[in-house]
Amino acid sequence: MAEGLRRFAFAMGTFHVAVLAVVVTLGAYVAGELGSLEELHPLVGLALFGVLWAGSVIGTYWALAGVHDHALHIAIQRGIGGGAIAGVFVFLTFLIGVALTVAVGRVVDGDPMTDVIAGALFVVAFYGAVGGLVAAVVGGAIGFMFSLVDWVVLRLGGISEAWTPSDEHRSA
Amino acid sequence: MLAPLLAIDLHLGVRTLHVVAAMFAVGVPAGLALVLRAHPAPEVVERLVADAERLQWIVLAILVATGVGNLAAPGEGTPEPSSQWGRVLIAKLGLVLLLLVLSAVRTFVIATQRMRAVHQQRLGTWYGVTAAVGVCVAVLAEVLAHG
Repeated sequence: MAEGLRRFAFAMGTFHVAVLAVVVTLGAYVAGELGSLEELHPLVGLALFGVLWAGSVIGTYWALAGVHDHALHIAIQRGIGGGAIAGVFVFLTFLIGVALTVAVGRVVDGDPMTDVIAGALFVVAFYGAVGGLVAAVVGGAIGFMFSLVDWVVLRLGGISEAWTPSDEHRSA
Repeated sequence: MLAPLLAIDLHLGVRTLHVVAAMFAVGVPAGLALVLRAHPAPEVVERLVADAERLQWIVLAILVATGVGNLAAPGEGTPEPSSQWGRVLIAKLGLVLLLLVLSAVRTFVIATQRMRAVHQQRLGTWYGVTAAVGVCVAVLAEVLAHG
């Protein structure tokens, strides 16, 4: 794993999640829906952002690692794939977090451990399979948009066709 | 009994984190722009830029995450988008988007060239522009907070 690629994926993954957060916040504010976030505990909000951030970096790394050709359609394909990976990662992390929280609550309430574990596993398996598909589609759509955004950013930087993200020369 | 106090402290903590992140978001690129004017050795530039880029993106993520938290905290008490405060907020978020895009372009530029080949003056300009946009965001933040 090239260090240069890892650093670059971290930067671009962070760029994606930050842009997404600002655009969603701006849209929610203009639509008058920002008040619905009031109930969100600050620590939960930061944790959610952290999961989104991690998912974005993982998806971006996967997308960049496979871009060996400067063609836009390759970048878009990898962007969609990376977005889908990020979407599934975020959804599953969120689902497992919720299942664990509920399970701990049930154990504290005195429910039998075997029932709690079986219930948590069922929730993660069932909703993970169904919701994971939806998350992959949503993530893929977002990944598609960001592959176009990245292409525009690349052009704004005046970067020539001679460079691709997985270029070994960047590993230094 | 301690819950309201804890909530107040958490919001204060988030705001503090936001301000500290803003200091770094402006200070790091401004400092680098100044350092690059002295034309340091390529190895020095390479190390400085690698560390600064990592720090800059971490700081931008914290800035955005805590900024969303700060914005959500007042809930229904947030002024309407059509108000003067709302227009300033929309302008601020627009500038934040510009700051993110400029930072991404700069990162792309750095990634495409090994440091010994990077034109230091050009890189210094990128950092200078990033810092200038960051200052504009900070001014709008001050207007939002104090009118």
